[in-house]
Formats: sequence, C-alpha cells, structure tokens
Amino acid sequence: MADDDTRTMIRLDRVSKSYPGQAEPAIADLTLEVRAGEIVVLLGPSGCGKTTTMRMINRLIEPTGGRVYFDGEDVTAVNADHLRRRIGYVIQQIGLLPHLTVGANIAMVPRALGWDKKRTTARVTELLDLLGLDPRTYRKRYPKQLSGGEQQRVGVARALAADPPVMLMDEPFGALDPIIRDRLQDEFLALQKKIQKTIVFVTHDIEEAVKLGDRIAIFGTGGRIAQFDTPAKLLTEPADDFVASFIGSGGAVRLLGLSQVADLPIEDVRTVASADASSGPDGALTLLVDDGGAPVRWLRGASGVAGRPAVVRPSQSLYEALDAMLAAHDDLAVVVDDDGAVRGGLRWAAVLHGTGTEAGSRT
Amino acid sequence: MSFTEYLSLRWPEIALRAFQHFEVVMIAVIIATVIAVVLAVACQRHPLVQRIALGTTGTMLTIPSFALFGLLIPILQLGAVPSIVALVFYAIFPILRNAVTGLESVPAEIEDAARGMGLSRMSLLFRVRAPLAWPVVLNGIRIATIMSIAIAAIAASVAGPGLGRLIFDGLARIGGANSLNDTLAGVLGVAVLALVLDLLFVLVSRLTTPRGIRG
Repeated sequence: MADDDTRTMIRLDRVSKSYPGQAEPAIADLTLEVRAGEIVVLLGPSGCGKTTTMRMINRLIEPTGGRVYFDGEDVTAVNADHLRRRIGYVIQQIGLLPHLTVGANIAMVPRALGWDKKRTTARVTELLDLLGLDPRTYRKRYPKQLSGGEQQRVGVARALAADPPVMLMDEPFGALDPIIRDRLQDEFLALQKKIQKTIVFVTHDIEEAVKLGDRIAIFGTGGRIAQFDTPAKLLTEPADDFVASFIGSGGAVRLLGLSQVADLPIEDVRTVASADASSGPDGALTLLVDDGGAPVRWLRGASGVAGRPAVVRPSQSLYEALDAMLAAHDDLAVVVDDDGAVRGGLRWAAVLHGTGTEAGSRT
Repeated sequence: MSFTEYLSLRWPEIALRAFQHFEVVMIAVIIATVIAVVLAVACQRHPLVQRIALGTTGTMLTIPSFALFGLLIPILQLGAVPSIVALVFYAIFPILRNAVTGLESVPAEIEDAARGMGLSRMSLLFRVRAPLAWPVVLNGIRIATIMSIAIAAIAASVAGPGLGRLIFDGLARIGGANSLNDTLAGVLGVAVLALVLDLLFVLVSRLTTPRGIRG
C-alpha cells in the first residue's frame, strides 16, 4: 500500500453541480483526491451533497462544471456506461435484479464486458467464496430467498465482479440491523485488506466513518467539504465549530477505537505455574498461568486484589482494552499473544497517555 | 329441434366459426400489443405524451362498438379487415395502460444499481425493465383478449367472421326455425372461448414469469 500512497486514483477538480431553477448550486467548486488503495468516507448530514459528489464520480449525476479524473484520465466526457463498468457500485437498497439468480446478478458486468462463460462462472464462484457464501447453495438462489445481510454480500460481490480498481459505496450497511451491520463492517475491512480497492464510502454515521475510513471528508452545508483528514486528526483537531458539533461529544472515546493495544508499551509480568511457588520480590506483579502459559488469576495484581485478570490481545483496540479493564475492576490488563500465552501487562495509565499521539499511526 | 340435437348436427359449422372468431381476435390483439408496447416504450420518459396517449386510447373505448363497426364500413367496406381494425382500436388501451404501469413499477433502486453497473439504455430496457414489467403487460394482453372476444361478436354487423354471425342470424329470424338455437350457440360459444383463453393466459403467465418474481 505504501507504494501507492502517492498515486491518485480519483480526482474531482473544482467540480460543481447546479440544478435549473435553484439559485444555490448543490455542489460548488469541490476538489477531492482519493489515493489508490484507501477508503475515503464522505460524511455529513442528509442533503449535504455527499451522495451527489459520489454519483458524479461514475457520472450517474453529470457535473455541470469542473473535471473528473479516473486514474489520471479525464473521464468527464467519456462514455459513461464504459466508465461505470470500471467502477463497482453498491447502494443501501442493494438493487439486486429480482428476476435473476444470485449467480446471474453477479455475472451482469462480466457479461456486459463480453467475458466468456467459463471465466464468468469461475469468477462468480470465487466471489461467492470470498464473501462467505457457499457457491453450491447460493448461486442458484433468487434475491428474495436471501436475508438482508446476504443480499448486501451479493451486492458487494456483484460490484467486485469485473475486479474494478474503484468501488463506490452509498451507505451499503445503512439498512441492516446493528449486529449484522457491525459484522459486515468487520468483514468489509478484512476483505479490503485482501483486495486493496480504492473505495469511496458515503455515510451519515460518524462511528461507521471512524471505523472504516482511512480518511474522512466531512461535508458542511452548501456542498462544501468542511474538513478532509484522518479519523484521528478529525477527532482531535476539528477544523471548525461545524465539524466539532457534527462529531459531537464522545470524540475522545471514539479515538480509543482507532489505536491498538500493540501501539502501547507493555510491562513485564512475572508468571508462575503453581500457586505455591514462592512469591517474587516485594510488589512484583505475579500471575498464575496454566500449562500452556495462559493466564488463570492474579496472585498479586496491580490493585492488590487477587482475582481473574482482564485479558486482551495486541490486535484489539484500546476501546476493547478499557472495556475489559472496567469489567474486571482492574487497572491492569494481561496482554496475550494469539496462542493465549502471556506477553505482559497493559496499564490503565498507559492507555490514558497513549491515545491521541499514537492514534495516527494506525495504518 | 332441441339444443343438443342442434349441436350434434351443426357442430362443424359452430367450431369453424369459433376458430375464425379466435383467429380475428388473436390477429387484432397481436397488432394491438405491438402498437401499445412500442408506444409505452417511446413515451416512457415523457409524462405529457404518456398522458395524452392514455387519454386518447381510453376515450376510444367509450365509442359503442356497433357504431364504430358501422362507421368503418365506408372506409374499409365489409369483412375481416374492418373487424380487425375495430378490435385493434379497442385492445390498445388495456395493453398500453399495463405496459406503462409495468415499466413504471420497476423500483428506482434496481434501475439505479443497473445503471451504476454500466448497462446501456438498451440492455437496461431488455434485460431489466422488460422482464420485470412482463407479468403486468401480459395481464393487459389478457384483459384485451377477453374484451376483444366479446366485441368481436358485434363484428358480424360488418359481415366479419366469427360466432357473431350465429347471434345476428338467430336474432334476425327470431321465432323462426332454430333461431333460438343459433343465438344460444353463438352466445355460449363466445363464453366458452373466453374461458378457454383465460385459462391459456394463466398457463402462459406461469411459464413465462421468471421464478424470482413469481408471487
């Protein structure tokens, strides 16, 4: 990803959109650059122009002024249908074709591009696997036979069908219930790690934006971008009152979700395999572990109380670490590696002082 | 002569007339379908034209069929041609109305997603909107067909083919031999024909509606 950091995949150059009969333009002189491989979230209240901006990238809405560049090429006037076949498109209402099977839905763009049958079939299988839908079960199903979450997975698979470098996603998880939404967001991030697409993602949900975005463009009124920054920067240094009020309270807590346990220093913890073992030097933290090196309970914890420790993994967020500490009524969490073996301890104070400065280094 | 005796004696003629009746109706409905569908597609993005087309063809329905057949005689003389023309005249409206409704009822998000995928206007029409509108259009064709079967009976007034001839003959000779049987055979024939075609449409609808949108 580092190699691509400088390559601009999408560039909107002083783009504007006005509608006849309206004095104020919907979008005025908007400039936006999206680098290859990053997720840029367009965030703002409804009617702020974020969807309009996104739809001008694949020209579902034709800009009335300015230029649109796609991978360095001026696409303001090229054939819009051909342009759209190079850009994945996912919308909240999904819009699967109800008269076609899941397989045929995913095969739409490959067919339009004239792929042969064998290649298309193989690609459909690959995508269904990628999205966690068993091809044998799902290929022949119809959209109405799927749950909302499954439908949107098919929606994403369909958008990825011809392996486009760019994906536009308009509140793709907005209509799903919170649990499914959360799971699809996690899966989406994991998927993006694998496929490294350039993604423009529209949402009005600040939490979703912070969770998914490498960079976030907050839209103010009148189709103008109030601030375009990394989530950490946005939360710690809002550019103006509008941004601050849109982020609202709880910015510091959201920031915790951006840093991982691995970003912070951990301290040594003495482990013993048996409760009878002689205790170490005065005040040394002592943790009882089982045969596999996994934590069992504190023999002498930071709070002076012996009890079950809070356990976190390095890949977990600081938000989750604090949550574990609060639940265990302890100001020290045991950090374990993926095998569950103890690596050290994470102090409450380290979290307190560590956020903000480390947050920017997420990627 | 009882009606059963009459039927056993005259069924070849009745069957022939029923077939001619069917033939005239089908020709008219096919022509009307082509006209109505082309019209619906042509005016889909022009609400004003659409309203004018629906208004005009709807008004045409209010012209009494007996009068229309009569008015066509000076232009098209007698026979099958004026019958078909008049039937087309009446059949356009139900098909046009359903075609317009069907095309409009395609959900906006489905069109949006399809356009976002880069489908051209033509593929959008043929691969997305037409298949989704088809059940509604087909229902329009069904209504037009049933309606035309009834109206085609009047075509006998311009010497058109079909079961209407039996009805008109019978009524003209009322009180005479077999006059009631003739009329009865014509009327029942029209009813049976309508019933059979209605069932046929149910079958066609089952066979041609994609599984994913079948109710």
